[in-house]
Amino acid sequence: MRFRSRLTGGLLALSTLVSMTRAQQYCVSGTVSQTHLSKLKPGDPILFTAKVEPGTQCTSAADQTTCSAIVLLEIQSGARRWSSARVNNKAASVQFIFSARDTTTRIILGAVVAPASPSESATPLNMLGVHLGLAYPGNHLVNGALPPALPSPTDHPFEPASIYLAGPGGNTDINYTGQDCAQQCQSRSIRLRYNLRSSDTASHGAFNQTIQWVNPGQEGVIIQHVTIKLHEEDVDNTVLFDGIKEYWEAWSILADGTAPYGLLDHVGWRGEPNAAKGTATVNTSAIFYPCQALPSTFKVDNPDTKAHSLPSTTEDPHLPTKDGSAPVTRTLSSTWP
Amino acid sequence: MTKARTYFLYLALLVPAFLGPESSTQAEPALNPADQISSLVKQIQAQALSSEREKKAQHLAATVRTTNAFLDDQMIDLIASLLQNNDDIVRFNAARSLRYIGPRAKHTVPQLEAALNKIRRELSTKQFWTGTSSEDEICPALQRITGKEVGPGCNFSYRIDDQ
Repeated sequence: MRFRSRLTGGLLALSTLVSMTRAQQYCVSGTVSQTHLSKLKPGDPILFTAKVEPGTQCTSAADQTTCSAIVLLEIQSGARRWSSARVNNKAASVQFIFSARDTTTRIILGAVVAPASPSESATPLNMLGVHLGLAYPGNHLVNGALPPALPSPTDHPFEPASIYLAGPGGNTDINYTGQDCAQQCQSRSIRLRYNLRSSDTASHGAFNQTIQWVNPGQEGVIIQHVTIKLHEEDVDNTVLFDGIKEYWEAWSILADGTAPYGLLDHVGWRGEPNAAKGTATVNTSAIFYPCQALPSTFKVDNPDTKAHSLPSTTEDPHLPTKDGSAPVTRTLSSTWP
Repeated sequence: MTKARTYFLYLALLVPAFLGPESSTQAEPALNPADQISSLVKQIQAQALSSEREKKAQHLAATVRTTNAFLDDQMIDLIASLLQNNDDIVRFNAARSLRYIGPRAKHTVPQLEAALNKIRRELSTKQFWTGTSSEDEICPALQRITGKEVGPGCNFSYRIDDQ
């Protein structure tokens, strides 16, 4: 039986500490200095966050090194939000250019963004063009690699930032105020909740429960620890099988509130007509981690787990529970006959 | 620096404005929705790495979410062709894309039902199961496209407004 053959290896698997690096991102803050947009006014704060997507490329020429990356650009001003995700990810990019001639690293972020709210349509009339330019002395592209963060503005004052939005009626100019990613995803105390969608039982101990997580409404990840225990005996009490399997599965919630893997969770056991008696138990414990990216060890369609299209892993991600919500636990169990 | 005054600017215009004439930087022009969808479907079908297929499939769904009003039947059929993909996560995102399109994808209902039968057959071989599968996007897609409270062949009504 497939489950049995995998149990042995799974039981002995050593846990691995997973690096929990957050997605590489660049954040620039500013205030509106003048605007033609009706929903912004001078003095409004604006935060630009560019999250790097995979595929960064660096090129070198005789007198300059250029790194460019496709990014997901989010702009926030109070309750107003715009995102490049609603236009086309390829419409946003950040470029770092180091010129050996004047030993200056220039950073250019450009994009077209649309209102992030699904209730506002993404049409040319409410999209904005974005331009953000910064320049710092020195080579911030060591070995031609994209740096882990923007240079510190206090350490490298060089050139006033050039930032503006181009929208209906004209440009909105932004005064540069600094760089701080901490404001973008502030960890809020969230109680993870779910709604029961269906729950059934059948012969030979079979059960099937479906729940749907309530969207936490904040960027982060729900990670659920699953432990499956199965004990089967023949009519003469001979133990046919006894084993445990455990793994972790995850649901991501993006900054725009979408859940790329949905928010449903099924927990099921089909029953075992070939065993006269037994017990099947599935224990789950789920925690929401605000601002946390999906750890790289989680894979969809992982053959070592039972999570199917949900990212999952047999390696304990070792996330600190103090950073997450209170755990939500469930136990589904059946004993037969 | 010269600032463009039109309200809708693409990168091709924005980036050189900062760099000046000495720059050799090239920005990738934005594609129209049909070209984007066509390109993504081809990339998904040609991609050898499953992790890349997953990323492209998610990108496809995110793109369809914002551009579905511009997609014609040919593009809808192209998306529906991914329901036959071997990766369940690709089928998951193809169904999600068709859900975003809604009733205009009505002619893809037979393909959705075939994909539902396929994942049901796969799941029926499992002893235990947790998590999600393409069924969890196929049923909401059928629900939205047909306008029925429970999609044809599905077990219950899905709440589809918050994911």
